[in-house]
Amino acid sequence: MATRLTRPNLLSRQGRWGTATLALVLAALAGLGQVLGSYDTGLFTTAFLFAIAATSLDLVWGFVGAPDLGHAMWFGIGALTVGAMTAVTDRTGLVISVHDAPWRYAVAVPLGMAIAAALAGLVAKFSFSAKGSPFYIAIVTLALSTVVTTLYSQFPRITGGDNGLFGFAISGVPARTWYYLTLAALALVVTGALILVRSDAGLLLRAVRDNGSRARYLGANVERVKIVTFMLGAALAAFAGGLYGLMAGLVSADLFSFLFATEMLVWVSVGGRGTIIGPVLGAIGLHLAGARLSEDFPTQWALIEGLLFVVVVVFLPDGVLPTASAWLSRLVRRATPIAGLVTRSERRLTAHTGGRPDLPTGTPVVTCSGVHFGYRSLLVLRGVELRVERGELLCIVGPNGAGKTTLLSVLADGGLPITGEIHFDLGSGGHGRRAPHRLARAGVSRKFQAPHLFGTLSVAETLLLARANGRLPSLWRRSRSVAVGPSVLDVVEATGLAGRDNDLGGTLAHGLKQGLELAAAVASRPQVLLLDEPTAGLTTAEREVIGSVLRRLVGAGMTVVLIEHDLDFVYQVADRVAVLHEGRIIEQGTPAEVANSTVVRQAYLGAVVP
Amino acid sequence: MRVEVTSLESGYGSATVLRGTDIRVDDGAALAVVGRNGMGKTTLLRTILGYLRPSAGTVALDGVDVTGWLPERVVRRGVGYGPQDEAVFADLSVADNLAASSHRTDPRRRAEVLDHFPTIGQRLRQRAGTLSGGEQKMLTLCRVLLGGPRLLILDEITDGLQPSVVDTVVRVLRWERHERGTTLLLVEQNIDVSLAVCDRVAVLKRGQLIAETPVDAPTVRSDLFGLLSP
Repeated sequence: MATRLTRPNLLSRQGRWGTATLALVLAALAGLGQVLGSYDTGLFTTAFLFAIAATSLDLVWGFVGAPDLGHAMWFGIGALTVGAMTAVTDRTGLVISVHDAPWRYAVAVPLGMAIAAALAGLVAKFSFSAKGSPFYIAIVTLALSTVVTTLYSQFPRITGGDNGLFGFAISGVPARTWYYLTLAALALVVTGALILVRSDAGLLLRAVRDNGSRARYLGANVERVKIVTFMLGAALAAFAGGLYGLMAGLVSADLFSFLFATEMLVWVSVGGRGTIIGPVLGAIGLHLAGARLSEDFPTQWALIEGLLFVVVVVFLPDGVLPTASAWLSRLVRRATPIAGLVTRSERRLTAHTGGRPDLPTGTPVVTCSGVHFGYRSLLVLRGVELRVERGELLCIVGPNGAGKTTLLSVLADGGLPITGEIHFDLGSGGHGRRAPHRLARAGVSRKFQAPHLFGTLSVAETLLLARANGRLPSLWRRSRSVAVGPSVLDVVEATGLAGRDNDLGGTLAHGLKQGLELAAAVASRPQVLLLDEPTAGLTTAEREVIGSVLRRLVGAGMTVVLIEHDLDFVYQVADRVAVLHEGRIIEQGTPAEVANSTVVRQAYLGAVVP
Repeated sequence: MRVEVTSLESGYGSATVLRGTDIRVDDGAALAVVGRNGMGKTTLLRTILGYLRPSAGTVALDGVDVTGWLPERVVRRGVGYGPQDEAVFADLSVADNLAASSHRTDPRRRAEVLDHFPTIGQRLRQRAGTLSGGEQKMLTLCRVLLGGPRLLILDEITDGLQPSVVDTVVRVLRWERHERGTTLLLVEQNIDVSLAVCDRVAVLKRGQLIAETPVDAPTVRSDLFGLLSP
């Protein structure tokens, strides 16, 4: 019951402000390059490379929520690849000469990026799993960074051992050229990253971060999104490391160390995690301040930096930049720019319901036979036999604790271990159970009983993602609006969501979250809609609207399975009712037939049945 | 316990949800607050309980100004609160959840409450997180009742309950009122429950009270239906 909601990520939402800030900073830095002395030029050049590393960490930590505690490794790999390609060492690891053929330098940077990406992919593959804890990645990367620094000294022929490799810098490039080269590289990386996180695909990243398990049911392959982003982050860090190698000609175990990785974490969190620009400013600012202050306070700087980190975490948990931009926007009193509006699509109804009018109704879509399932020793489903037919609205009723929600779960999540058989026929050849995202893509969508959507995605953004239903949204385009069918709009209006297009999921009232759950499930245009208490928290009048929307969807060929306690509502909408009691379907038939069932009378009318 | 809410303004950050709400529930009376989604019902309850600090207005219980008090201090005056969701301690057993309500539960009362909700009585050793959604609601209500509150604040407590259990809830709440003199403040979407348990219904719209009616007014149902339509 958190009362504190994450502040909307202002910079990635308020596009123009961010872009203006960025352009201004870059222009100022470009001008500065003309007047800086040689010492400062070098300082800034390093700062730009660190800023690239900070950006890459922000993609991983800020956008898919994977705290990489060993991000320095990837930077180190980039630098080491350049060193190992060019420096020649003796047996003890002492550099005796340098191969300075240009092709070696040219190959080393992309090679380092590829090695980092491959290793990161391996780490990610083992750390991100559907059942794994989100902390795995933190523990694994922390352990790895310790292992890698130890290993570093074990292979002196390649790494230079305890002394590291040195003197392999590319020769003949003036410091000022490096300044502009690295600035250009930073501009390129930051622009690319901003385009990515503000694109429609950026919504996918945030959805995965906010609520990965829910994103699966909208067709997102959560593991793949995390793995690919993690690899991208590692490759970008190795890119920065490679440039550092070319420029400084220096690599040692320090570049891989947990200490350096921690510094990156500080840049990102002080600047503002999840804002891209914040970490850039954090890295540049702290690196410059560190260089200046460590001259005057050589021993105290680490302490000052640590204290600064604590102060930021305690007083500005979102980081400096989001806090500053929140103040700014409060001063300017500007309305949030449009991040997406829900509009009525001009296409025909059927194109938006996802039902398959081309397939004959009355054929089975889902068939359960002998389904048993339990949580450890607690057996919930005890042999469910159920056939759901195409184009029908089936209501599942039953007492609390009968296993209704569990039944929907085993239908939608092929990862739950059941005994018995569940078969789907969604028009493209029959198949068995599948992982949630694959089933969602095949056309089965689910509304949960307790609403858990995405805290930092607006209503319109959530619907945009639901509509994509697993297809990768554009990596660069940013939709200004999302067109949805009339059914979705009806749900939006009936549940009170109208006019709240830009409200963030985390700030919605409970009932509105329920409405958004339902709207998102319908917006994904499924063939089969699994609804757990779709009318919870709605008034009688609102229920009637939802009922007629569902009837219309069924009329257009959709199949609906819904769990409901409101019998008036059930009688109003259902074609067929199945009664689940103690983990078995004990009765099914038309609403009128089932109304006389003993269990229904016991559960619904309160009659005492022995 | 008498509840007086005067010109209450409250919300989340810069978003104001309650805009000058006035509510009064007399000692032993029962008020149902209804309204469409997002109109401020839960915000009202949470502000009364001290989870949210109001930007203006006052909350008084039995004439004592409790505005801005922390929830634990408000609750200690004899207020029982059943929130809308995530209301059970998922990793504790059902029995431990019940024990968490009060350190001085009268065993007779415990038996009485569990008698109303046999499902809960049968599952005392089960981990509360493995209960179904409806069972968690029952557990929430049982836990709140065990505290023996003088003011009972319940947010959508019948949501997701099977009809016969809803009937039980109605019976229990009526008994609480008439036998123990408990004051009730409910946010309840189920009109039948509101009308059966309470004596007044208040309609909240955009953070303001737009109508208040006794439950025995002849046109109460159609009035409410009209006020709560999309």
